[in-house]
Amino acid sequence: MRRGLIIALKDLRQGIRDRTTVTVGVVAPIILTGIIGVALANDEGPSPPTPIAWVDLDGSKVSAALLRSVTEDWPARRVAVTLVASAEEAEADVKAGRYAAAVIVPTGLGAALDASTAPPMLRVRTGRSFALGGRLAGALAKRATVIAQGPAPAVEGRAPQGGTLRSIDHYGPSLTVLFLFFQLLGGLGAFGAEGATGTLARLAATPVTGREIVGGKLFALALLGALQFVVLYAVMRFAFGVAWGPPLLVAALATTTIASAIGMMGTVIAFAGPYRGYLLGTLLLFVLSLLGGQFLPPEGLPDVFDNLARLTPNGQALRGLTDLAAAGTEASLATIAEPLLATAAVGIVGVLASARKLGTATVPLA
Amino acid sequence: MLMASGLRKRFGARVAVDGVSLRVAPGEIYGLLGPNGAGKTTTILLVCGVLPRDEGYVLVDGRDLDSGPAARARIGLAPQWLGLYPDLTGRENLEFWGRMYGLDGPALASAVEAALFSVGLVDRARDLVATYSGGMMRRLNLASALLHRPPLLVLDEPTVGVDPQSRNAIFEHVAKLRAEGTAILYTTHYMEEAERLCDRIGIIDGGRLQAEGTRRELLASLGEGACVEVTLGGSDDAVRAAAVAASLAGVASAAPLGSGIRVVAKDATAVLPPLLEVLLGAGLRPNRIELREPDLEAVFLRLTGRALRD
Repeated sequence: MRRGLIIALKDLRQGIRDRTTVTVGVVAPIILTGIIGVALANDEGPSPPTPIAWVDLDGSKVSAALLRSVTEDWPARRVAVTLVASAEEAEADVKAGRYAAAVIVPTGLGAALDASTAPPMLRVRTGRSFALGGRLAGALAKRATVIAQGPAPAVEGRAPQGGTLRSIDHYGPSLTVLFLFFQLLGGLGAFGAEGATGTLARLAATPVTGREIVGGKLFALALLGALQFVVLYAVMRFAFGVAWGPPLLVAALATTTIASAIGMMGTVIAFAGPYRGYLLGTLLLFVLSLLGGQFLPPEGLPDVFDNLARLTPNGQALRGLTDLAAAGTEASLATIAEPLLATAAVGIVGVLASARKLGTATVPLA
Repeated sequence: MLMASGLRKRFGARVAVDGVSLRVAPGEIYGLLGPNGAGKTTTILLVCGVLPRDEGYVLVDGRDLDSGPAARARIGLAPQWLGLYPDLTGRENLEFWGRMYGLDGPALASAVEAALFSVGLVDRARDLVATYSGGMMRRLNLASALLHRPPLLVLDEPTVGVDPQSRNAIFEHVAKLRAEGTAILYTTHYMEEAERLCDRIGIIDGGRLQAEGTRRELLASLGEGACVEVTLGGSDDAVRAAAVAASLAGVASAAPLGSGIRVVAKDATAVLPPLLEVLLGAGLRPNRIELREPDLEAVFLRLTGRALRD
């Protein structure tokens, strides 16, 4: 254990000195987020068309205008709206996965707005991530205000801090998770580099166990990952206005996310060895990023992608972070229960599996 | 101090080390002499527990190497490939390796200072290792293996790529450690180093220990013979000349050596006239012929049929 900490401290010192670590881990995601932020400054919705069920129980001019604005204006390129007869049917379809979300326009909305009385509540139901509900709810509230030319009807759904969930609120956390995993993969590269330069073999000649070597290195990576997350969180929050949600819950999810990445990397090293591990890790990162929604939000893709994203720790982390952003001040532990448990489970299983594998070897990392 | 028996290591179909056994006593330098690819480094990695053995066992100071990390604490390894971190300073490197061997606090500080002093790197201790010359890195590499004062020191080609000044400094340091009772396993492909430093020498080739003994014992195995070195026009001629010379009666072995050949014979003087005759007959014109006293190179040639530095 003590020797593991010595290795961790040495790696931390090297990591902080290494300009590549700072460039890849912090500067690159900030620049990319900035570019995306500028490119999608006015965008309010998910990129690919998302299937939405629309239930108009009101049948008024206002509800028709609202639907028209949704289909013809903002989401025309981004959502595919289908009219559904009843709220129950729409909610069942959402539950069955036929629609990503359902919007239910209640009876009396138009009359209430005409009479300048308090309008009934618009409802948004989502079957997948909270974030989609946040985007839709925020956008509908904004448009209803314009259409009614009066006070906005309340929208049951979640919107971050009273606003809309913008694309940057997706891509900020998305790039943070992507580069977090990328940075940790860089740690696998460091393993490979130590193998090539011979310091790993020399380490193995000291009175150290394989567990201590791998554990120490992964611990240093975890600390560097946490530091990276804090820096990115702060820069994106204050420089780009990314909505993150409650900091404590974000911190909890970041911790289990880092644990999941560490668990996976440890398993790769323990079973594939430090040399092949880097190649396998690169492939793994690419596949995970693709499936986890780092490049395209899974809620906009066919159901199978959304389900696959839920099977990846980075996909779970992204889902949890965007849900936190969408829920805003209303977020609780329940909001991120699934991502929290899923990432923690991957971390625990990975660490136990790698420790078990490394513990049986008489020669460290042979 | 070190007893290794029946070491065997296979990489796929290739046997890298094949039944190597050796012992090194306290205060003794055991030289493992062989050309590149002979199996020296693999043997060392097996002895230090860095590579798993297919067969055989290793005892260090009476402890089985497989009994746990404690046995490895008795070994200091200065690998051929320089196990140093270029992005740390010399001092930071030494502190790290010292801590890995259990040193801490004042003991670590004094060990690091002593090591820096002994290899003449006190002035450069605060510089990143990346800025060191090759010779300085070699010296630091050696120093980092000595911090915990191991009873067994393993030096793998410690003078490769080193300037003459650093090489002499390393020789002196190694000799001093021997005098202090350290057992040293020293690999090299430089015959001169083995002759100068080592108390006993094992000649390794093809993963097998071909012969073992003191320099005197190894040379005695050649009998009363001597070597003839013939310099020719080029290396192509050398290959042909070696084949021609090897067919002569009285020649124990003949092998190309640079642009010439080296011939080992029981009676070199008697072999010289017929050797000249067959070479000239084959259209090979010697530029120079030299009779030499037998050395380890000749022993290697006799044992393996090829020169040490092929």
